[in-house]
Amino acid sequence: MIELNHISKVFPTRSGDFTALDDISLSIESGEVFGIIGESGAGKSTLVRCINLLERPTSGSVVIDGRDVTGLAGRELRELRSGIGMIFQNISLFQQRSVIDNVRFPATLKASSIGSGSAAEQASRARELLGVVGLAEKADAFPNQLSGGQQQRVAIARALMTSPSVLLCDEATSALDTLTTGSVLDLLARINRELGVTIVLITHSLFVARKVCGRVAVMEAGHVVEQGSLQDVFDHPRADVTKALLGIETGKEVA
Amino acid sequence: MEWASAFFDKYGLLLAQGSLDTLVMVLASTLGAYLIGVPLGVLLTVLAPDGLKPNRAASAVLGWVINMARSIPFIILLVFLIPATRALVGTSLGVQGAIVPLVVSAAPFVARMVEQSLAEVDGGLVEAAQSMGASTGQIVTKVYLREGLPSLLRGLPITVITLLGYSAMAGTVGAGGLGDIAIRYGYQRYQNDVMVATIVILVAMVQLVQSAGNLLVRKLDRRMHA
Repeated sequence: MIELNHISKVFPTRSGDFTALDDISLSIESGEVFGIIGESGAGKSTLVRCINLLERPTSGSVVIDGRDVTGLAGRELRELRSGIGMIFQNISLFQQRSVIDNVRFPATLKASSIGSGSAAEQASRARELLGVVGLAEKADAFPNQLSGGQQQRVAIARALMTSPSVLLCDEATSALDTLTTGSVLDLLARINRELGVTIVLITHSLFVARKVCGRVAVMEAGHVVEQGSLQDVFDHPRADVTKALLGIETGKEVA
Repeated sequence: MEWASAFFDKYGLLLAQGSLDTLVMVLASTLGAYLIGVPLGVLLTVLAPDGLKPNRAASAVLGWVINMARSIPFIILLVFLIPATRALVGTSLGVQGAIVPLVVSAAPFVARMVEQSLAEVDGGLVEAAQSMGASTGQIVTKVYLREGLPSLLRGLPITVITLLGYSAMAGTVGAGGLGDIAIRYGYQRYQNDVMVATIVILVAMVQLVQSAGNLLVRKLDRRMHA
């Protein structure tokens, strides 16, 4: 379970402090697909980056499976991160490495004893994961030879290399077309179901949230304005921003 | 033809020795410049305000030292460094004596080029590696240097060719090599044929270096295999 307790993040800027996250508390259960929805600039990416501490909260705490990880540094921090997979909107595959070397990459860091193994073990696990994402035959290709959807599948395989218990998805399908988005989301849902990986998914798209999320939180201007089961939030929206998002989706005017 | 064969009989050995000296000077100083310049370029990148280990003071001092070294014209650096060169390699003359000032002048140049190449590496890749638990050292070697390799290699012929030019200047203060020959025979004895020969050799060297560099990039940049 991931607990975010009273997380705030303030960025100092030339024109004064900017509060990106303002006292956010959320808890994400093990094994669920949790969606964080909101317009760009709402603070979704900053929030999800607090989970693996790519972003240090200014105040508040991050507790994972009962352990406060907020202050971790060095070796312990790297070990924590190797247990949390992450995929990105801009995919970020290493262009100078083959597909299989991209997938192997996290294991070669030896950030934790889990999933490291010998070169041969790494290669066989990487091939297995490429099979899971349906790209076994592309092992020796290079990223620029693949389509956007295929590249994101490789990134998913890479994120799974160290057998993480959590997968963070930062607008992972936003750069993909609709059909590809659907198939990548199906893959994420299958990973959640079959491997039991907890998924935290950020999106501005209600279509994406509807397709895979069990529970969602809606963010606006650094605040979580409402949260609950997908059904509840979408059927009985209370916050104006949720109503507005749903209104845009259905094309109906929202009072 | 008779003229050519007479010319080669007379100057062939001299030009061959000069070419060899120039090559040794340029290759040795390129190696030295990269041994110093690459770590400096990495430091510039890592210590920068948006780098992995931002350090305003260290990065400002380093930048200032590099700019200082780069702002001294080579011909002046050459003379200025004579005592240091003597202390380091025992002589300020010949090929050996030229390598010290060549390295000192090229290392900061290489550092800036390396910084430039590493800046081209997508920040998303650095963040991705961080999210996997990579250490700063791993990010430098496995992400910056690896992903920046094609760009780094494109800088290599630029450095070699710059050093080729500088090595000719070093010739004026007794370093030997083609520059020395061009000055002694072409300038001081009005033997234009010898000077033209050195120019032809230098032009050929530059072309060769650039072509070899391009070939290397084509072979090693995996993005071009599509």
